[in-house]
Amino acid sequence: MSSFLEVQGRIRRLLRDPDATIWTTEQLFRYWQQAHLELARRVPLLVDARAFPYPTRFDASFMHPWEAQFLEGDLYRCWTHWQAQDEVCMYPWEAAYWMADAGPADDGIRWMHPWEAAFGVSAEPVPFLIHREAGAVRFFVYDQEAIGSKLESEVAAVDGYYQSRSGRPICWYPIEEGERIHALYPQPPIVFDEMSEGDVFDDAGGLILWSDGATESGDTGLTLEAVALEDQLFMVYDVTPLLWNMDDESPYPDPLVHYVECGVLEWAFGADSEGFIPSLRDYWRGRKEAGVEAMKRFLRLSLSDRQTQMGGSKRPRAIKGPSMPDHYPEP
Amino acid sequence: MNAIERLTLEWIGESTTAPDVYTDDATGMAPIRDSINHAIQELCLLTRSFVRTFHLPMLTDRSIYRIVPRRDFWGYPLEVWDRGNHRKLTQTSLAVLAAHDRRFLWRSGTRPSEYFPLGLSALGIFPKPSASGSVLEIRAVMVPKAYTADTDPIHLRDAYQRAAAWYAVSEFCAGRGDAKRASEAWAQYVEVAGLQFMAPGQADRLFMMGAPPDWRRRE
Repeated sequence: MSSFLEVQGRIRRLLRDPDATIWTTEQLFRYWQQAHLELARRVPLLVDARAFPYPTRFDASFMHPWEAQFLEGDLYRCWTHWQAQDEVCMYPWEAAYWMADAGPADDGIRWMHPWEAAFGVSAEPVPFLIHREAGAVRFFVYDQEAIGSKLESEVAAVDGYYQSRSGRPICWYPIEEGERIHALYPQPPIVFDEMSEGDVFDDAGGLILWSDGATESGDTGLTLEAVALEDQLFMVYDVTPLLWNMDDESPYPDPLVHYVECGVLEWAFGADSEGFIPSLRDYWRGRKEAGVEAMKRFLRLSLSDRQTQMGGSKRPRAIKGPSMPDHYPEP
Repeated sequence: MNAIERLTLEWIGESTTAPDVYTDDATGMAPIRDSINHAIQELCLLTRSFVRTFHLPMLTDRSIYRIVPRRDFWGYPLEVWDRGNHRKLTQTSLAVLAAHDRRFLWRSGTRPSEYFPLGLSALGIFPKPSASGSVLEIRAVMVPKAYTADTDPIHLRDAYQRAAAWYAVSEFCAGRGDAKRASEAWAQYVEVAGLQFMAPGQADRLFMMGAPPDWRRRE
Protein backbone atom coordinates (compact mmCIF):
# COMPACT_ATOMS: atom_id res chain seq x y z
CA MET A 1 0.00 0.00 0.00
CA SER A 2 1.46 3.33 -1.03
CA SER A 3 1.16 6.63 0.73
CA PHE A 4 0.89 10.06 -0.87
CA LEU A 5 4.50 10.82 -0.07
CA GLU A 6 5.63 7.72 -1.96
CA VAL A 7 3.70 8.52 -5.15
CA GLN A 8 4.16 12.28 -5.09
CA GLY A 9 7.33 12.07 -7.15
CA ARG A 10 5.62 10.24 -9.97
CA ILE A 11 2.62 12.59 -9.91
CA ARG A 12 4.89 15.62 -10.12
CA ARG A 13 6.81 14.08 -13.00
CA LEU A 14 3.58 13.69 -14.96
CA LEU A 15 2.57 17.22 -13.98
CA ARG A 16 6.01 18.47 -15.09
CA ASP A 17 6.16 20.41 -11.83
CA PRO A 18 8.97 18.79 -9.80
CA ASP A 19 9.65 21.87 -7.70
CA ALA A 20 6.04 22.57 -6.66
CA THR A 21 6.02 25.80 -8.62
CA ILE A 22 2.39 25.56 -9.71
CA TRP A 23 0.77 22.97 -7.43
CA THR A 24 1.67 22.89 -3.77
CA THR A 25 2.01 19.64 -1.89
CA GLU A 26 -1.06 20.44 0.18
CA GLN A 27 -3.12 20.97 -2.97
CA LEU A 28 -2.07 17.66 -4.41
CA PHE A 29 -2.80 15.92 -1.12
CA ARG A 30 -6.33 17.35 -1.12
CA TYR A 31 -6.84 15.99 -4.62
CA TRP A 32 -5.43 12.67 -3.42
CA GLN A 33 -8.04 12.55 -0.66
CA GLN A 34 -10.85 13.50 -3.03
CA ALA A 35 -9.81 10.93 -5.62
CA HIS A 36 -9.89 8.22 -2.97
CA LEU A 37 -13.38 9.17 -1.86
CA GLU A 38 -14.64 9.35 -5.43
CA LEU A 39 -13.31 5.94 -6.40
CA ALA A 40 -14.56 4.34 -3.19
CA ARG A 41 -18.01 5.78 -3.81
CA ARG A 42 -18.19 4.70 -7.44
CA VAL A 43 -16.76 1.19 -7.11
CA PRO A 44 -17.50 -0.77 -3.91
CA LEU A 45 -14.21 -2.62 -4.09
CA LEU A 46 -12.82 -1.76 -0.68
CA VAL A 47 -14.37 -4.32 1.60
CA ASP A 48 -12.78 -5.29 4.88
CA ALA A 49 -13.51 -8.23 7.15
CA ARG A 50 -12.33 -7.83 10.75
CA ALA A 51 -12.94 -9.18 14.21
CA PHE A 52 -13.30 -6.79 17.14
CA PRO A 53 -13.39 -7.49 20.85
CA TYR A 54 -16.63 -7.01 22.76
CA PRO A 55 -17.02 -4.66 24.50
CA THR A 56 -14.78 -2.15 22.77
CA ARG A 57 -11.68 -1.26 24.72
CA PHE A 58 -11.92 2.49 24.71
CA ASP A 59 -8.78 4.50 25.31
CA ALA A 60 -10.48 6.80 27.79
CA SER A 61 -13.84 7.70 29.28
CA PHE A 62 -14.82 11.27 30.03
CA MET A 63 -17.76 13.04 31.64
CA HIS A 64 -17.72 16.67 30.53
CA PRO A 65 -17.36 17.72 26.88
CA TRP A 66 -14.38 19.95 27.58
CA GLU A 67 -12.34 16.94 28.70
CA ALA A 68 -12.25 15.46 25.19
CA GLN A 69 -9.81 18.05 23.88
CA PHE A 70 -7.14 16.72 26.25
CA LEU A 71 -7.60 13.09 25.27
CA GLU A 72 -6.69 10.96 22.30
CA GLY A 73 -7.93 7.76 20.77
CA ASP A 74 -11.35 6.11 21.03
CA LEU A 75 -13.27 8.00 23.71
CA TYR A 76 -16.45 7.13 25.56
CA ARG A 77 -18.67 9.69 27.20
CA CYS A 78 -20.01 8.08 30.32
CA TRP A 79 -22.92 8.94 32.60
CA THR A 80 -25.44 11.67 31.99
CA HIS A 81 -25.10 15.41 31.92
CA TRP A 82 -27.80 16.82 34.18
CA GLN A 83 -28.55 20.13 32.52
CA ALA A 84 -30.44 21.64 35.47
CA GLN A 85 -27.37 21.70 37.69
CA ASP A 86 -24.70 21.47 34.97
CA GLU A 87 -23.45 18.38 36.71
CA VAL A 88 -22.88 14.79 35.74
CA CYS A 89 -24.94 12.12 37.46
CA MET A 90 -24.82 8.36 37.28
CA TYR A 91 -28.31 7.28 38.28
CA PRO A 92 -31.67 8.82 37.35
CA TRP A 93 -32.67 9.10 41.02
CA GLU A 94 -29.92 11.68 41.53
CA ALA A 95 -31.95 14.21 39.57
CA ALA A 96 -34.77 13.78 42.13
CA TYR A 97 -32.43 13.82 45.15
CA TRP A 98 -33.71 17.14 46.45
CA MET A 99 -37.33 16.09 46.20
CA ALA A 100 -39.36 14.36 48.83
CA ASP A 101 -39.78 11.19 46.75
CA ALA A 102 -37.03 8.63 46.56
CA GLY A 103 -36.80 8.71 42.77
CA PRO A 104 -36.93 5.79 40.34
CA ALA A 105 -35.08 2.59 41.10
CA ASP A 106 -32.52 1.63 38.52
CA ASP A 107 -32.31 -1.66 36.67
CA GLY A 108 -28.71 -2.44 37.46
CA ILE A 109 -25.26 -0.98 37.85
CA ARG A 110 -23.82 2.02 36.09
CA TRP A 111 -20.21 2.11 35.05
CA MET A 112 -17.56 4.42 33.73
CA HIS A 113 -15.76 1.99 31.45
CA PRO A 114 -17.80 -0.55 29.46
CA TRP A 115 -15.74 -3.51 30.66
CA GLU A 116 -17.03 -2.89 34.19
CA ALA A 117 -20.37 -4.25 33.03
CA ALA A 118 -18.85 -7.72 33.38
CA PHE A 119 -19.26 -7.47 37.13
CA GLY A 120 -23.02 -6.97 37.37
CA VAL A 121 -26.27 -6.45 35.53
CA SER A 122 -25.79 -3.31 33.49
CA ALA A 123 -28.57 -0.73 33.59
CA GLU A 124 -27.50 0.76 30.27
CA PRO A 125 -26.46 -0.75 26.94
CA VAL A 126 -22.85 -1.83 26.74
CA PRO A 127 -21.44 -0.04 23.71
CA PHE A 128 -19.14 -1.14 20.95
CA LEU A 129 -17.52 0.99 18.27
CA ILE A 130 -17.78 0.54 14.54
CA HIS A 131 -14.47 1.10 12.80
CA ARG A 132 -13.80 4.71 11.89
CA GLU A 133 -13.51 3.88 8.20
CA ALA A 134 -16.58 1.63 8.08
CA GLY A 135 -19.25 2.67 5.64
CA ALA A 136 -22.13 0.27 5.09
CA VAL A 137 -21.90 -2.89 7.18
CA ARG A 138 -22.62 -5.82 4.90
CA PHE A 139 -22.48 -8.62 7.42
CA PHE A 140 -22.42 -8.70 11.21
CA VAL A 141 -21.64 -11.63 13.46
CA TYR A 142 -21.51 -11.98 17.21
CA ASP A 143 -19.99 -15.15 18.61
CA GLN A 144 -20.29 -16.91 15.25
CA GLU A 145 -23.96 -16.11 14.79
CA ALA A 146 -25.14 -13.71 12.12
CA ILE A 147 -27.48 -10.99 13.38
CA GLY A 148 -29.21 -8.07 11.70
CA SER A 149 -29.48 -4.38 12.52
CA LYS A 150 -32.45 -2.47 13.90
CA LEU A 151 -33.16 1.06 14.99
CA GLU A 152 -33.21 1.76 18.70
CA SER A 153 -36.84 2.86 18.39
CA GLU A 154 -37.75 -0.50 16.89
CA VAL A 155 -36.12 -2.35 19.75
CA ALA A 156 -37.70 -0.06 22.36
CA ALA A 157 -41.13 -0.60 20.82
CA VAL A 158 -40.80 -4.33 21.38
CA ASP A 159 -39.15 -4.38 24.80
CA GLY A 160 -39.34 -1.63 27.43
CA TYR A 161 -36.42 -3.22 29.30
CA TYR A 162 -34.22 -3.34 26.21
CA GLN A 163 -31.41 -1.37 27.83
CA SER A 164 -30.81 -3.92 30.56
CA ARG A 165 -32.10 -7.11 28.94
CA SER A 166 -29.48 -9.84 28.88
CA GLY A 167 -29.33 -12.92 26.73
CA ARG A 168 -28.10 -14.07 23.34
CA PRO A 169 -28.04 -11.13 20.90
CA ILE A 170 -30.57 -11.13 18.11
CA CYS A 171 -29.85 -7.70 16.66
CA TRP A 172 -27.61 -4.64 16.97
CA TYR A 173 -28.63 -0.99 16.94
CA PRO A 174 -27.01 2.46 17.00
CA ILE A 175 -27.04 4.21 20.34
CA GLU A 176 -26.40 7.58 18.76
CA GLU A 177 -27.61 8.35 15.26
CA GLY A 178 -24.76 9.15 12.94
CA GLU A 179 -22.14 8.09 15.50
CA ARG A 180 -20.08 4.98 15.62
CA ILE A 181 -21.39 3.75 18.98
CA HIS A 182 -23.73 0.76 18.82
CA ALA A 183 -25.10 -1.86 21.18
CA LEU A 184 -26.34 -5.43 21.08
CA TYR A 185 -29.82 -6.50 22.04
CA PRO A 186 -30.11 -8.41 24.28
CA GLN A 187 -26.76 -7.87 25.95
CA PRO A 188 -24.58 -10.95 26.02
CA PRO A 189 -22.47 -11.83 29.05
CA ILE A 190 -19.06 -10.21 28.83
CA VAL A 191 -16.24 -12.70 28.56
CA PHE A 192 -12.78 -11.64 29.55
CA ASP A 193 -10.03 -13.53 27.78
CA GLU A 194 -6.59 -12.85 29.13
CA MET A 195 -4.22 -12.30 26.25
CA SER A 196 -1.67 -15.08 26.34
CA GLU A 197 1.76 -14.92 24.82
CA GLY A 198 1.42 -15.33 21.11
CA ASP A 199 -2.02 -13.78 20.86
CA VAL A 200 -1.78 -10.41 19.23
CA PHE A 201 -4.52 -7.97 18.50
CA ASP A 202 -3.55 -6.37 15.24
CA ASP A 203 -5.29 -3.78 13.18
CA ALA A 204 -4.63 -5.80 10.07
CA GLY A 205 -6.78 -8.75 10.89
CA GLY A 206 -8.49 -8.71 14.22
CA LEU A 207 -7.30 -11.33 16.65
CA ILE A 208 -4.43 -13.17 15.05
CA LEU A 209 -4.10 -16.65 16.41
CA TRP A 210 -1.43 -17.89 14.12
CA SER A 211 0.80 -16.20 11.63
CA ASP A 212 3.20 -18.02 9.37
CA GLY A 213 5.29 -17.51 6.35
CA ALA A 214 6.84 -14.07 6.67
CA THR A 215 10.58 -14.33 6.19
CA GLU A 216 13.23 -11.92 7.36
CA SER A 217 13.69 -10.46 3.91
CA GLY A 218 10.21 -9.01 4.01
CA ASP A 219 9.61 -9.38 0.31
CA THR A 220 8.97 -13.08 -0.02
CA GLY A 221 6.68 -15.52 1.65
CA LEU A 222 3.06 -15.51 2.57
CA THR A 223 1.40 -14.29 5.74
CA LEU A 224 -1.60 -16.28 6.83
CA GLU A 225 -3.81 -15.08 9.63
CA ALA A 226 -6.71 -16.97 11.15
CA VAL A 227 -9.42 -14.74 12.54
CA ALA A 228 -10.94 -15.70 15.88
CA LEU A 229 -14.71 -15.32 16.13
CA GLU A 230 -15.68 -16.75 19.53
CA ASP A 231 -17.28 -14.13 21.78
CA GLN A 232 -16.13 -11.46 19.38
CA LEU A 233 -17.77 -9.19 16.89
CA PHE A 234 -17.01 -9.88 13.25
CA MET A 235 -17.98 -7.41 10.57
CA VAL A 236 -17.72 -7.22 6.84
CA TYR A 237 -18.04 -3.61 5.80
CA ASP A 238 -17.36 -1.16 2.99
CA VAL A 239 -14.31 0.96 3.67
CA THR A 240 -14.48 4.74 3.36
CA PRO A 241 -10.86 5.78 2.84
CA LEU A 242 -9.99 8.46 5.36
CA LEU A 243 -6.47 9.71 4.85
CA TRP A 244 -5.60 12.42 7.33
CA ASN A 245 -1.84 12.53 6.96
CA MET A 246 0.40 12.43 3.93
CA ASP A 247 2.11 9.29 5.17
CA ASP A 248 -1.16 7.39 5.67
CA GLU A 249 -1.16 4.31 3.48
CA SER A 250 -3.80 4.12 0.81
CA PRO A 251 -6.34 1.31 1.38
CA TYR A 252 -6.03 0.46 -2.29
CA PRO A 253 -3.34 -2.06 -3.22
CA ASP A 254 -0.55 -0.69 -5.43
CA PRO A 255 -2.04 -1.90 -8.75
CA LEU A 256 -5.14 0.20 -8.08
CA VAL A 257 -3.38 3.27 -6.66
CA HIS A 258 -2.60 4.29 -10.22
CA TYR A 259 -6.27 5.06 -10.79
CA VAL A 260 -6.16 7.38 -7.80
CA GLU A 261 -3.17 9.09 -9.40
CA CYS A 262 -5.23 9.61 -12.57
CA GLY A 263 -7.87 11.31 -10.47
CA VAL A 264 -5.25 13.56 -8.87
CA LEU A 265 -3.89 14.52 -12.28
CA GLU A 266 -7.37 15.26 -13.59
CA TRP A 267 -8.05 17.56 -10.66
CA ALA A 268 -4.65 19.24 -10.97
CA PHE A 269 -4.93 19.98 -14.69
CA GLY A 270 -8.53 21.04 -14.29
CA ALA A 271 -7.99 23.44 -11.38
CA ASP A 272 -8.28 27.14 -12.09
CA SER A 273 -4.59 27.85 -11.80
CA GLU A 274 -1.57 28.46 -14.00
CA GLY A 275 -1.47 24.76 -14.67
CA PHE A 276 -4.93 24.61 -16.23
CA ILE A 277 -4.61 22.47 -19.38
CA PRO A 278 -8.02 21.19 -20.52
CA SER A 279 -6.63 18.65 -23.00
CA LEU A 280 -4.55 16.93 -20.33
CA ARG A 281 -7.43 17.21 -17.88
CA ASP A 282 -9.62 15.34 -20.36
CA TYR A 283 -6.93 12.77 -21.02
CA TRP A 284 -6.46 11.92 -17.36
CA ARG A 285 -10.20 11.99 -16.81
CA GLY A 286 -10.50 9.39 -19.55
CA ARG A 287 -7.80 7.32 -17.89
CA LYS A 288 -9.58 7.58 -14.57
CA GLU A 289 -12.90 6.53 -16.10
CA ALA A 290 -11.16 3.60 -17.77
CA GLY A 291 -9.76 2.72 -14.37
CA VAL A 292 -13.25 2.77 -12.86
CA GLU A 293 -14.42 0.39 -15.58
CA ALA A 294 -11.40 -1.81 -14.95
CA MET A 295 -12.16 -1.96 -11.23
CA LYS A 296 -15.79 -2.83 -11.93
CA ARG A 297 -14.68 -5.56 -14.31
CA PHE A 298 -12.26 -6.90 -11.69
CA LEU A 299 -15.05 -6.93 -9.12
CA ARG A 300 -17.30 -8.88 -11.49
CA LEU A 301 -14.53 -11.31 -12.34
CA SER A 302 -13.77 -11.93 -8.68
CA LEU A 303 -17.36 -13.13 -8.25
CA SER A 304 -17.85 -14.97 -11.50
CA ASP A 305 -14.49 -16.07 -12.86
CA ARG A 306 -13.80 -19.53 -11.53
CA GLN A 307 -13.60 -23.11 -12.62
CA THR A 308 -17.17 -24.33 -12.69
CA GLN A 309 -18.61 -27.80 -12.78
CA MET A 310 -22.04 -29.32 -12.98
CA GLY A 311 -23.52 -30.21 -9.64
CA GLY A 312 -21.43 -29.70 -6.55
CA SER A 313 -20.93 -30.82 -3.02
CA LYS A 314 -24.00 -31.23 -0.90
CA ARG A 315 -24.45 -28.65 1.79
CA PRO A 316 -25.01 -30.11 5.27
CA ARG A 317 -28.67 -29.95 6.18
CA ALA A 318 -29.37 -26.85 8.21
CA ILE A 319 -31.30 -26.90 11.44
CA LYS A 320 -34.62 -25.26 10.78
CA GLY A 321 -37.20 -23.99 13.20
CA PRO A 322 -36.79 -22.55 16.71
CA SER A 323 -33.39 -22.88 18.27
CA MET A 324 -32.67 -24.39 21.66
CA PRO A 325 -32.39 -22.18 24.76
CA ASP A 326 -29.00 -20.67 25.50
CA HIS A 327 -28.12 -23.10 28.28
CA TYR A 328 -28.42 -26.13 26.02
CA PRO A 329 -25.20 -27.48 24.49
CA GLU A 330 -24.30 -25.99 21.14
CA PRO A 331 -25.05 -28.16 18.11
CA MET B 1 16.50 -3.61 -21.17
CA ASN B 2 13.80 -6.17 -21.86
CA ALA B 3 11.68 -6.51 -24.96
CA ILE B 4 8.86 -4.26 -23.79
CA GLU B 5 11.25 -1.48 -22.80
CA ARG B 6 13.05 -1.77 -26.12
CA LEU B 7 9.78 -1.56 -28.02
CA THR B 8 8.72 1.48 -26.01
CA LEU B 9 11.97 3.32 -26.66
CA GLU B 10 11.69 2.62 -30.37
CA TRP B 11 8.18 4.02 -30.52
CA ILE B 12 9.08 7.20 -28.65
CA GLY B 13 12.09 7.78 -30.89
CA GLU B 14 14.81 6.99 -28.38
CA SER B 15 17.86 5.02 -29.44
CA THR B 16 17.89 1.53 -28.03
CA THR B 17 21.64 1.03 -28.47
CA ALA B 18 22.82 4.35 -27.00
CA PRO B 19 19.85 6.06 -25.32
CA ASP B 20 20.28 9.69 -24.32
CA VAL B 21 17.58 10.16 -21.71
CA TYR B 22 16.29 6.72 -20.75
CA THR B 23 19.62 5.05 -20.16
CA ASP B 24 19.77 1.31 -19.64
CA ASP B 25 20.05 1.35 -15.87
CA ALA B 26 17.69 1.46 -12.93
CA THR B 27 17.60 5.24 -12.67
CA GLY B 28 17.37 6.08 -16.34
CA MET B 29 14.77 3.48 -17.14
CA ALA B 30 12.67 4.16 -14.02
CA PRO B 31 9.93 6.31 -15.67
CA ILE B 32 9.46 3.85 -18.53
CA ARG B 33 9.62 0.90 -16.19
CA ASP B 34 7.04 2.56 -13.94
CA SER B 35 4.53 2.82 -16.77
CA ILE B 36 5.19 -0.69 -18.01
CA ASN B 37 4.67 -2.05 -14.51
CA HIS B 38 1.30 -0.33 -14.30
CA ALA B 39 0.35 -1.79 -17.65
CA ILE B 40 1.37 -5.27 -16.59
CA GLN B 41 -0.59 -5.01 -13.38
CA GLU B 42 -3.69 -3.74 -15.12
CA LEU B 43 -3.53 -6.44 -17.76
CA CYS B 44 -3.00 -9.18 -15.17
CA LEU B 45 -5.92 -7.79 -13.19
CA LEU B 46 -8.26 -8.15 -16.13
CA THR B 47 -6.98 -11.04 -18.23
CA ARG B 48 -6.04 -13.80 -15.78
CA SER B 49 -2.47 -13.73 -17.06
CA PHE B 50 -0.85 -14.55 -13.75
CA VAL B 51 -2.21 -17.48 -11.78
CA ARG B 52 -0.50 -19.02 -8.78
CA THR B 53 -1.26 -21.90 -6.44
CA PHE B 54 -1.21 -21.49 -2.69
CA HIS B 55 -1.54 -24.01 0.08
CA LEU B 56 -3.73 -22.99 2.99
CA PRO B 57 -3.29 -25.12 6.11
CA MET B 58 -6.47 -25.06 8.14
CA LEU B 59 -6.71 -24.67 11.89
CA THR B 60 -9.21 -26.18 14.29
CA ASP B 61 -12.43 -24.15 14.52
CA ARG B 62 -11.13 -21.35 12.30
CA SER B 63 -13.26 -20.46 9.31
CA ILE B 64 -11.89 -17.06 8.23
CA TYR B 65 -8.36 -16.72 6.90
CA ARG B 66 -6.54 -13.65 5.69
CA ILE B 67 -4.00 -14.31 2.95
CA VAL B 68 -1.38 -11.66 2.33
CA PRO B 69 1.34 -12.60 -0.17
CA ARG B 70 4.48 -10.61 0.44
CA ARG B 71 5.73 -10.71 -3.12
CA ASP B 72 2.64 -10.13 -5.25
CA PHE B 73 -0.96 -8.98 -4.80
CA TRP B 74 -3.86 -11.28 -4.20
CA GLY B 75 -6.60 -11.03 -6.84
CA TYR B 76 -9.31 -13.63 -6.39
CA PRO B 77 -9.53 -17.42 -6.08
CA LEU B 78 -10.24 -19.45 -9.20
CA GLU B 79 -10.39 -22.88 -7.69
CA VAL B 80 -10.10 -24.36 -4.20
CA TRP B 81 -9.24 -28.01 -4.00
CA ASP B 82 -9.22 -30.26 -0.94
CA ARG B 83 -6.40 -32.67 -1.63
CA GLY B 84 -7.03 -34.86 1.36
CA ASN B 85 -10.68 -35.47 0.52
CA HIS B 86 -10.17 -35.35 -3.26
CA ARG B 87 -12.86 -32.86 -4.02
CA LYS B 88 -13.31 -29.31 -5.13
CA LEU B 89 -14.96 -26.71 -2.98
CA THR B 90 -17.74 -24.63 -4.49
CA GLN B 91 -17.89 -20.87 -4.15
CA THR B 92 -20.66 -19.33 -2.13
CA SER B 93 -21.23 -16.11 -0.22
CA LEU B 94 -21.99 -15.00 3.31
CA ALA B 95 -25.52 -13.98 2.37
CA VAL B 96 -26.36 -17.41 0.94
CA LEU B 97 -24.94 -19.26 3.92
CA ALA B 98 -26.61 -16.95 6.43
CA ALA B 99 -29.96 -17.27 4.67
CA HIS B 100 -29.68 -21.02 4.93
CA ASP B 101 -28.56 -21.07 8.55
CA ARG B 102 -27.57 -17.96 10.50
CA ARG B 103 -25.42 -20.10 12.78
CA PHE B 104 -23.42 -21.54 9.92
CA LEU B 105 -20.19 -20.36 11.56
CA TRP B 106 -20.80 -22.79 14.42
CA ARG B 107 -20.81 -25.80 12.16
CA SER B 108 -17.64 -27.78 11.89
CA GLY B 109 -16.66 -30.86 9.97
CA THR B 110 -13.83 -32.88 8.56
CA ARG B 111 -14.66 -32.14 4.93
CA PRO B 112 -15.02 -28.49 3.94
CA SER B 113 -17.50 -28.13 1.11
CA GLU B 114 -17.64 -24.42 0.29
CA TYR B 115 -15.58 -21.28 0.41
CA PHE B 116 -16.54 -17.61 0.30
CA PRO B 117 -14.19 -14.75 -0.59
CA LEU B 118 -14.25 -11.71 1.69
CA GLY B 119 -12.95 -8.39 0.48
CA LEU B 120 -9.56 -8.16 -1.17
CA SER B 121 -7.58 -10.60 0.95
CA ALA B 122 -9.73 -12.83 3.16
CA LEU B 123 -11.25 -16.22 2.54
CA GLY B 124 -13.83 -18.15 4.51
CA ILE B 125 -14.32 -21.91 4.66
CA PHE B 126 -17.57 -23.74 5.40
CA PRO B 127 -17.90 -25.77 7.50
CA LYS B 128 -14.94 -24.83 9.65
CA PRO B 129 -12.47 -27.68 10.18
CA SER B 130 -12.91 -29.72 13.36
CA ALA B 131 -9.22 -30.58 13.40
CA SER B 132 -6.04 -28.98 12.14
CA GLY B 133 -3.85 -30.48 9.50
CA SER B 134 -5.86 -30.50 6.31
CA VAL B 135 -4.59 -28.32 3.51
CA LEU B 136 -6.50 -26.56 0.77
CA GLU B 137 -4.91 -25.95 -2.59
CA ILE B 138 -6.00 -22.57 -3.90
CA ARG B 139 -5.44 -21.46 -7.47
CA ALA B 140 -5.73 -17.71 -7.51
CA VAL B 141 -5.41 -14.89 -9.97
CA MET B 142 -2.57 -12.67 -8.81
CA VAL B 143 -1.20 -9.30 -9.75
CA PRO B 144 2.59 -9.26 -9.91
CA LYS B 145 4.56 -6.73 -7.97
CA ALA B 146 6.53 -4.21 -9.98
CA TYR B 147 9.74 -5.51 -11.49
CA THR B 148 12.87 -3.46 -10.85
CA ALA B 149 15.56 -5.05 -13.01
CA ASP B 150 15.46 -6.02 -16.64
CA THR B 151 16.40 -9.56 -15.66
CA ASP B 152 13.23 -9.92 -13.55
CA PRO B 153 10.58 -12.18 -15.09
CA ILE B 154 7.63 -10.51 -16.79
CA HIS B 155 4.40 -12.16 -15.74
CA LEU B 156 2.45 -11.25 -18.81
CA ARG B 157 1.37 -13.25 -21.81
CA ASP B 158 3.29 -12.48 -25.00
CA ALA B 159 0.10 -11.36 -26.70
CA TYR B 160 -0.19 -8.44 -24.29
CA GLN B 161 3.38 -7.22 -24.30
CA ARG B 162 2.85 -4.90 -27.26
CA ALA B 163 -0.13 -3.45 -25.44
CA ALA B 164 2.06 -2.72 -22.42
CA ALA B 165 4.47 -0.85 -24.68
CA TRP B 166 1.63 1.31 -26.06
CA TYR B 167 0.58 2.07 -22.48
CA ALA B 168 4.06 3.31 -21.69
CA VAL B 169 4.14 5.41 -24.85
CA SER B 170 0.84 6.99 -23.87
CA GLU B 171 2.13 7.99 -20.44
CA PHE B 172 5.36 9.27 -21.99
CA CYS B 173 3.39 11.54 -24.31
CA ALA B 174 1.14 12.71 -21.47
CA GLY B 175 4.24 13.47 -19.41
CA ARG B 176 5.48 15.70 -22.22
CA GLY B 177 2.14 17.50 -22.39
CA ASP B 178 1.04 16.01 -25.71
CA ALA B 179 -2.50 14.94 -24.86
CA LYS B 180 -3.43 14.19 -28.48
CA ARG B 181 -0.64 11.67 -29.05
CA ALA B 182 -1.20 10.27 -25.58
CA SER B 183 -4.85 9.61 -26.39
CA GLU B 184 -3.92 7.97 -29.69
CA ALA B 185 -1.41 5.71 -27.99
CA TRP B 186 -3.96 4.87 -25.30
CA ALA B 187 -6.47 3.88 -27.97
CA GLN B 188 -3.82 1.58 -29.46
CA TYR B 189 -3.27 0.02 -26.04
CA VAL B 190 -6.97 -0.66 -25.63
CA GLU B 191 -7.21 -2.07 -29.15
CA VAL B 192 -4.21 -4.36 -28.87
CA ALA B 193 -5.17 -5.63 -25.42
CA GLY B 194 -8.78 -6.18 -26.44
CA LEU B 195 -10.10 -4.12 -23.53
CA GLN B 196 -12.64 -2.09 -25.45
CA PHE B 197 -14.96 -2.07 -22.45
CA MET B 198 -12.64 0.53 -20.90
CA ALA B 199 -13.19 2.91 -23.80
CA PRO B 200 -16.85 2.66 -24.79
CA GLY B 201 -16.30 4.77 -27.90
CA GLN B 202 -14.13 2.00 -29.29
CA ALA B 203 -16.76 -0.64 -28.70
CA ASP B 204 -19.48 1.38 -30.36
CA ARG B 205 -17.93 1.21 -33.78
CA LEU B 206 -20.07 -0.35 -36.47
CA PHE B 207 -18.26 -2.56 -38.96
CA MET B 208 -19.47 -3.24 -42.47
CA MET B 209 -18.02 -4.93 -45.49
CA GLY B 210 -17.10 -2.52 -48.27
CA ALA B 211 -19.22 0.61 -48.65
CA PRO B 212 -22.40 1.41 -50.56
CA PRO B 213 -21.53 2.88 -53.99
CA ASP B 214 -23.50 6.02 -53.33
CA TRP B 215 -22.53 6.63 -49.71
CA ARG B 216 -21.60 10.23 -50.42
CA ARG B 217 -24.52 12.53 -49.86
CA ARG B 218 -25.79 13.82 -53.13
CA GLU B 219 -25.43 17.53 -53.53
